[in-house]
Amino acid sequence: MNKLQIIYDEYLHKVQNEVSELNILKMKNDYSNHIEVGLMYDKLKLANNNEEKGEIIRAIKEFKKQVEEMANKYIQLIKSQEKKVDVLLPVSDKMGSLHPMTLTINEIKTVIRNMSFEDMKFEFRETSEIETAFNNFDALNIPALHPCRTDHQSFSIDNEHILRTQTTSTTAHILQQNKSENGAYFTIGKTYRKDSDATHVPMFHQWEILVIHNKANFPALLTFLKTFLNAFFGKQLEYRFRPSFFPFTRFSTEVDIWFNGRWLEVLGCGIIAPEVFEQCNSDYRMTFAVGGGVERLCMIKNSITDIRSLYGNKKIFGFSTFGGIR
Amino acid sequence: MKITLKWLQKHIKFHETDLKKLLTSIECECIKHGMELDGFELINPILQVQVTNVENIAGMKVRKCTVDLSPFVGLINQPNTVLCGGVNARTGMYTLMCPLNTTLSNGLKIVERKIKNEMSYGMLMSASEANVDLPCENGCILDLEDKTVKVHSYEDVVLNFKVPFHRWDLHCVRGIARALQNIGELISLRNTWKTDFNWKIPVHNETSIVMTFGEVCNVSVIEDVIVFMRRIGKDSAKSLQMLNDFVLLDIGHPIAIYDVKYIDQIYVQYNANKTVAIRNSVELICEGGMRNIRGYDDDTINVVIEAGYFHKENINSLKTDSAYRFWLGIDNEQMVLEYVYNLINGEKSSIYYGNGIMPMSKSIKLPIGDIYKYTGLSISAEHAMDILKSNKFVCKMERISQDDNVNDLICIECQCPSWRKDIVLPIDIVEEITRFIGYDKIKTYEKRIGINEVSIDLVEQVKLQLCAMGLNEIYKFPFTDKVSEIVIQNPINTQESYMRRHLFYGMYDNVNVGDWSNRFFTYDTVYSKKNDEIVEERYLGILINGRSMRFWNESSCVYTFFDLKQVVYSLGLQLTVCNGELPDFAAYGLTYNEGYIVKIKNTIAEDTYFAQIKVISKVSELKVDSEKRYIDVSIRCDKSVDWLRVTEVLKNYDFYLFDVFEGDGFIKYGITFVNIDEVPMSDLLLLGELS
Repeated sequence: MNKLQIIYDEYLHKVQNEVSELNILKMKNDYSNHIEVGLMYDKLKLANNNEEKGEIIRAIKEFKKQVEEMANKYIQLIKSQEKKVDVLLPVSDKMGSLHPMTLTINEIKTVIRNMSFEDMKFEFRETSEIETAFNNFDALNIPALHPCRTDHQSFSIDNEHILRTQTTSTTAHILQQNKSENGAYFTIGKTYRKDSDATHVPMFHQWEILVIHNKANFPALLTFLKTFLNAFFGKQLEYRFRPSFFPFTRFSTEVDIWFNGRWLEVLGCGIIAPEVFEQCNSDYRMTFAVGGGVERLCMIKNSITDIRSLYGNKKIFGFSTFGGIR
Repeated sequence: MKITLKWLQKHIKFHETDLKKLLTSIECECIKHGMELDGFELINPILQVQVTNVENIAGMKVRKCTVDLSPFVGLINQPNTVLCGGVNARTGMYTLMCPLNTTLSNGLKIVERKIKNEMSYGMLMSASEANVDLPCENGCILDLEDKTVKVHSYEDVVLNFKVPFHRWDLHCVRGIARALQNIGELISLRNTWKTDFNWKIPVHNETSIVMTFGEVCNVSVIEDVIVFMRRIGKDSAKSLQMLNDFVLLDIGHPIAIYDVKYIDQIYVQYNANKTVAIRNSVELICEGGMRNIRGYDDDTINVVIEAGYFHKENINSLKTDSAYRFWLGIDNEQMVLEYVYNLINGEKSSIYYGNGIMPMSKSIKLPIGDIYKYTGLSISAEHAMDILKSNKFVCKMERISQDDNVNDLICIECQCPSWRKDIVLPIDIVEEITRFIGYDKIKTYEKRIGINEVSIDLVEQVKLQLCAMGLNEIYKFPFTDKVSEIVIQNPINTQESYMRRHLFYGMYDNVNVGDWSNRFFTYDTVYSKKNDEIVEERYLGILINGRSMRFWNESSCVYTFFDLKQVVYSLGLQLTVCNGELPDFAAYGLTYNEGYIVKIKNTIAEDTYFAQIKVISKVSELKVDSEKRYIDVSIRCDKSVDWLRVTEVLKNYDFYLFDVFEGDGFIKYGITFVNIDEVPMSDLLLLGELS
């Protein structure tokens, strides 16, 4: 049944973006006789009892009905749009658009602002991009010999300062200020690493969430993640939590989601390591942190394959996906 | 590659006698090793058989002969009756026979034949048919009084193997025999395979575990060092090179391979920095972390493979997160064994540690209650210990309290394996246990959130306003080649060695000279130094270039300075003109308290205008207070009514003036009343008061 839902979602997405009545009709026929529907009929033959048979028949009927309804709805919409003729001269300039990154950042901000942890609302914190090596590395339990501290991994400004390699440096600032209180914070900002290819750029954005609370344990973290990602993507997702390692977390996990038929890594998270509190001269409290790349979410949501196109800016203006302000 | 079944039988004793089944087994086994059995053929398939019975058939010239096929592997299941026209056929005679499915040199294929309800499975042959130079009369079959006639047996089945190019070890009969050993019993290769080792191996400060793998054909002990040798197939050097590279690159585990002919004896020594060096009596052969490639060549047959476990920090000083990620819960020695086994298909032995004890590192005490605290999982101490033991931890349970029911007061004391450098604190042990139970077993619940609050801050308002005016937002990297105060010490390239002082530098790259209209904006950071302190400030950058059509009945015209000024002023930002310094790329322009609007000089894209403005203004103060109520009123009155008069009339109300418009003979005042539910007085009354 879930497969039918996936197919229906796919169909809906196509129909919504279609402008030709003929194509919608074609799509309606294709999807009504989709191979998955055929497989459902096969299942029907193998079904053991009437209850099971009834369920399958209902699912098929419901699916076909929805497909037809949507097709009719969008055909009507196209017809109604055709009738509206603007008799005036066209305006000289089209509307501009926000950058997909801004749209993604706004969406992340909106979701986080509408979330809470144990009645704590999330507070936005922003720190500088040019950061001290201490806050970027030492405070986060990244040892002196770690490769990411070398010249070929990060940009250095002077002996003391670097361009931050992660927004987790904000965590260090927060822990240095908040010595013993509970709190829920989030940040979104630019980070810099010496990397440039189809999936890496030297400057990219990260978002990060920090929750300091004695109930901020691992199940709470996983619950939070599911809630956040479901809200961000606007649907129930399948998850895979992979054990990982970050120097600043104990219980480190990377999260994959099942999206458009494949597993995609979207973020990393974990329970903040006691060493980080020690370095920040703060009392140890149960704290979880979640962080990920904004570009990654933006690319997944907008089906962008080359991250560099986000910063080339030129292609973007032609995309209907980004046309106008959302 | 073609080899006969007989050659293979020198190395493997097949238990299967049915050729078809045997070939099926071989085919299956080949697939496991990436090989392919590309059919088989027979070499001159003529058998020397004994006729055991001859029977006349009524009404036919031919006779029904029964032959003895028992000596031939693969023909046990074949019927042994052959119809023969030879007049000399008799019981007990020896002759030549061609079995089913064979093709003679003249192209004739022997198949089953039926003559008057009698089946014939093969053909008894004359001398001419068998192409042998022996006396044989016409109409007779060959009568072999002397049984020493040399003919090939049916066992000369030629198997054609397609071997993958990278499996150099399979390019020999021994290699293929080794690969196919599961379908029979390995004869010659097994002779030298020794499985019970009990030697002491030197272990020093957890840095080295000498490992055994491969087929050991000779073992010698020189002082404390063990030498293991492995015999491999053709093209050994390539195979070894590949093995070496693969193991080193994939898991960072250095191995050393030496040709026995270069080595008289091996010494292992520990250097000051705790790496292992291996040398023979004359020279240094290999040092820890460095691979040795001169040890073997194309003629190498007997080799020593030695592998030591080194702490990751000791390998090229690397200590990476990904290394930790990889090693989580993985027994790396076992991993190397698997690689070797898969690559060159040896036989695996166990791993042997110094004194027979695996080196252990630190000891950590885990209060069992921590598992619930961190994960919400209720796990018994015994279950936790089972998991840890399966991962080579040595565990001991300690009961702090005498009360058996109090689970919280149980402690597990764990000794971690030497390679688990990632485990430092009790929470790491909890993580280890949870990983094996599975993160999916952790109970979560889904909260549903409604997206109610969509707060738009000042910057967002400004951005939306610019979009409505037809400008597109862009994102640019902050790196530039224009000299600024913030210098990157290690830039990606020389064109990106400074942090931008002005947003213009990145934005101008986006101007497409041929385009009708280039209009974009960005809200980003610029970097400077004030009093030796690094300052990051965020500005709004707007750039326009190209043409615009202002009115429908006019032709288009190029953008002017005032087009951009119009855009900036319409944002409602609080701007005060000042005599600041214009940036060096400006031809002319205006400076403001928080930015500037300029025309760009000397650019390919003519008539380009740029503004960099800080988004702080009274707009932020215009945020509507939801607790207050406002009503706007426009009063049109005679020009003689001045503002003082208006304030006098409305003195009992909380209000302020927001607009004044002076027309021909009249004046309009726009007034906002605060905290009222309806207009304080009727229009007529108000106008009456004012007149």
